[in-house]
Amino acid sequence: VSPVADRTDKIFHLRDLLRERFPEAHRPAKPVAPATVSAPAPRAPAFTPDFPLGVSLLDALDDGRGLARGSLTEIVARRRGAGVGTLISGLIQAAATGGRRYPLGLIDGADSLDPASLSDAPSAAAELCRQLLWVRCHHRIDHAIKAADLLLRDGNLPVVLLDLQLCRIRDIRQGVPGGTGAWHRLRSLAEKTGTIFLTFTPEPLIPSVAWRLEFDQRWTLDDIDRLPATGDLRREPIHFTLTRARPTAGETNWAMAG
Amino acid sequence: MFTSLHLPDFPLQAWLCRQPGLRWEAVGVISGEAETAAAGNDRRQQPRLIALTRAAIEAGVEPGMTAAQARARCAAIQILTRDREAEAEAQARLLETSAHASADFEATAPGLVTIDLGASPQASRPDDLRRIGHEWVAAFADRELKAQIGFAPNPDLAALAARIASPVRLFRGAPDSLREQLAPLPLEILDPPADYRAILTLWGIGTLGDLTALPRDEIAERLGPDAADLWDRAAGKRRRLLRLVRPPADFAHAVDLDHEITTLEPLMFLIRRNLETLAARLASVYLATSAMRLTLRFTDGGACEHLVRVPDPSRDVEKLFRLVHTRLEDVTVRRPIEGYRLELTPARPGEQPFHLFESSLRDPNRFAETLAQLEALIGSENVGSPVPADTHRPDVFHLRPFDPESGPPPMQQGQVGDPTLFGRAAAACSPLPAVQGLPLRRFRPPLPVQLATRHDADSGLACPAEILSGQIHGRLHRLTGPWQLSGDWWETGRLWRREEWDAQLEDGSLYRLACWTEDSQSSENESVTWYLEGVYG
Repeated sequence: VSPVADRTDKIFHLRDLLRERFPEAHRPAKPVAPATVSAPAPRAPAFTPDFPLGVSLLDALDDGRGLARGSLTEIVARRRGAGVGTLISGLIQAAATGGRRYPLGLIDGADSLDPASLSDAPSAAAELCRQLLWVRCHHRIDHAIKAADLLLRDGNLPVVLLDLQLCRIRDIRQGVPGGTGAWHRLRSLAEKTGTIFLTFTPEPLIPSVAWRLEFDQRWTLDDIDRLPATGDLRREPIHFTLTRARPTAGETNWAMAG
Repeated sequence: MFTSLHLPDFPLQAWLCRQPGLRWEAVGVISGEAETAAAGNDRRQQPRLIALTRAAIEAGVEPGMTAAQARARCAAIQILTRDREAEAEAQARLLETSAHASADFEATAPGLVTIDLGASPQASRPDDLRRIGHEWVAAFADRELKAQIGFAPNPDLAALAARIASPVRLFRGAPDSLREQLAPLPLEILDPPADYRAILTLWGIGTLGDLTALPRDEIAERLGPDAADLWDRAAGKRRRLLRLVRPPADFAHAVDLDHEITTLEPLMFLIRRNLETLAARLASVYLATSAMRLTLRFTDGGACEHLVRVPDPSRDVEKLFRLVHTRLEDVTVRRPIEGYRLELTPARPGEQPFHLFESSLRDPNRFAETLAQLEALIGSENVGSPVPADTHRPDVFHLRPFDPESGPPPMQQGQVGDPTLFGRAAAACSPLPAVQGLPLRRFRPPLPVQLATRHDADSGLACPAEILSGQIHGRLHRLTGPWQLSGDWWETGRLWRREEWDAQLEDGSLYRLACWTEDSQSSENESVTWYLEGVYG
C-alpha cells in the first residue's frame, strides 16, 4: 500500500466519522434550483399570506405564506419580455380590484409602463391605476434609488416596486449612489417600515435578498390574443426559477417593526 | 356660566396700542359728533373728553370736560380724536381671544365681549375661573391692553362684573345671594337713561340695593316697562340670548411686505404667524383645512401660485407649516417677493386611522410631504396616477394627483383577491375590465431601427423581415400585422397615421414595431422610419 493510498483511506474514514457524528450537516441541501414553478399549485396552500398581494405567483411562495412584510425580493429577468411586465400589471390589477385593496408605488426606472395596456377601455384603465403611484425616472438610476429611499422611509405604501429591468446593467452599476451600500440601506428601510419591496433587475445585483426569482417566461404571438379572453393578469402563469429563499428573515423583521 | 372681557377706556387703549409711549403722558380722547348727538346733547355743544391717561387725571382733568376746560387744567394735555381703525384692530384682538375660549360669543359693545362658557367643567370651579381670568389679563397685557374679566351666571351680570373688576370679578350663587352681592354697587354702573336717573335720584335711590328694595311691579307701573328691565339688571336676574359673532367664512391672509423678501427663511417666519392666526380661526368653528393656496407676488408685477394639499384635514400649525416648507424649499424665484396671500380651504377634521384592511395611508400628511419631496426631485409631471386619454392614438395619457382614497369602495372579502380562494371559480366573479392582451412595456422614446423588408406574395405587401441595427436586432421569427391606425383627420394639420406589427425575434421576445406619419401632406415616396415601440410581457 502506497503512502498516498493510505492517506486517501484515512480521509475517507474521517469523512465517514464526521457524517455519522453530524448527520444534519451532511444532509443534502434543499434543492432551490431548479425548483421551477410555472403556475400556482393546484392544491390549497398550507398557510395564508400575512399580506396577500392578490397575485397567485407571489402569494403561493413559501407554501402559501407569500412575501413577508419588510422583505426585499429581487426579480431577475435577463431577457426583455420574460414576464416582468405581466407581473407588474397583475400587481396593479390586484391592488385596485382585490378584496384587500392597497396603495402601490411603482418606481419606473426606464419609464416603461403603458397604462393603456391594462384595459381596452381608458376609463377602466384609469380606475385600475387609482391605487398606483407611478414615479417616472426616465433612466435616471440615481433618481430611482432616491425615490425608493423616500417611499420606503415614508412607510405609507405597503408595497413598493422598483423596476430597473429595462435599464442597462452598466447604468445601474454606475448610477446607484453609494454602490452596494444603497441596497442595504433600502433593505433596512423596508424592514423598519414593514414595506414589501420588490425590485426588478436584468441581472442578480442585490445582496442579501429574502427572495430571488429569475423569470424566463416565453410567450408566443398567440398569447397576445389569448389573454383578453381570461382578462386576469393576476393569475397568469409565469415561468421562473427560485434561486434564493430566505423567507424567515422577513417575518422576524416584521415582528421587530411591530 | 358666562364671562365678559372688557377693555376699559377703549378709545384710549386703542390709541395706546399703536403708540405705547403716550401711556405716560397727559392724553385725553375726545368724543366725536356722533357720540355727542347720541348722548342727547345739543349738536352745537362741544365734544367732551371720554377717556384720560393717569397723568391727565393727576393733572386735574376729568372725563366730560371740553378740550378748552382740559387745557385750562393741564396745558400740556394732548387731545386726540377717536381712531376708528385702531379701535377695530383692538376689537379684532378681543374677538380673537374670545374665539379661542368658545365658539359662542357676542360683541356686546366696543371693547366688551360676552362669552358663553357652556357646561365646561372648568366653568363650575371658582378657582379655575379666576385662574383663567388672570391668564387672559396677562395675555392682553402682552399686547399692551388692560383687560377686566367678569364671570357670572347670565350675560348682563357678567358684563357688569367685568366693568367693576380689578382685574377679575366673579358673581356666583343663588339669586338672593347675587342680589346681596350687587346691593352696595352704585346705580350709575347700570348706565340708566337720563330721565330715569333724574327721577331715581329724586327718590333718593343711589345703589342697586335701594332700587331692588322697591317692588318691581310698582316701579314698572310708575316708570314704564324699561324700568322693570332696569330692576332685573339691578337684581342680577335678567336673562337673554347672545347675539353670536361668527368669524368670516374666508380663511385667508394677504400680506404686503414693507421690505422685499429674497430668501425662504423670512418668508416662512411670516407664514408661520399667518398659519397660527388662520388655524385659530378654523379652530373657533371646529374646522380644519384640506388645502392651502399660497400666491406669491413679485416686484415686477408677476405672481405664482402654489397649491399644497392636506390629505388628512388638519389645523395643526406644525403639520401645515411643514407641508408649506417642503413645497417651497425647492422653489427658486427670480425676483424679490413683495407680498403674498395665504388661503386655507376649510374642511371637516379628518379621522384617518390605519383601517382594518389597510386600504388607506397610515399618515396622509406625512405622505403628502414625501410626495412633495418626490416632485421636487424628479418634477411634478413625473409623479402621479396615470389616466389614459380616450383616443386610439397610442401612448397618450396624463398624470393626476395620487389619491387612493377617492376611488369606489373596495369589494367585499371573499370576492376576487381573497387569498383563501383559488382557481377559476374565484376568477369567474371578477369584475376586472378586459385586458388588451399581453401588457406592453414601452420604450420611451421609441428606438429607431433599420429594417429589412421582404415582399409577401400572399398580401402583396412589404413586410418587416429583419432588424438590422440597434441594441435589439435579429431576424424576425414570426410576424403578425399590419395594424393600420389613424386619427384626427377631421382637424387640419393633426392627422396621424401609423402601421404596427407584432414580431417575435429568434430569442422568443415579442416586440411591437411601428412606423408613423404625422402630416397628411407627407409624400408617399418619403423614406419611412421604423421604431421599436416596446416589448410584450
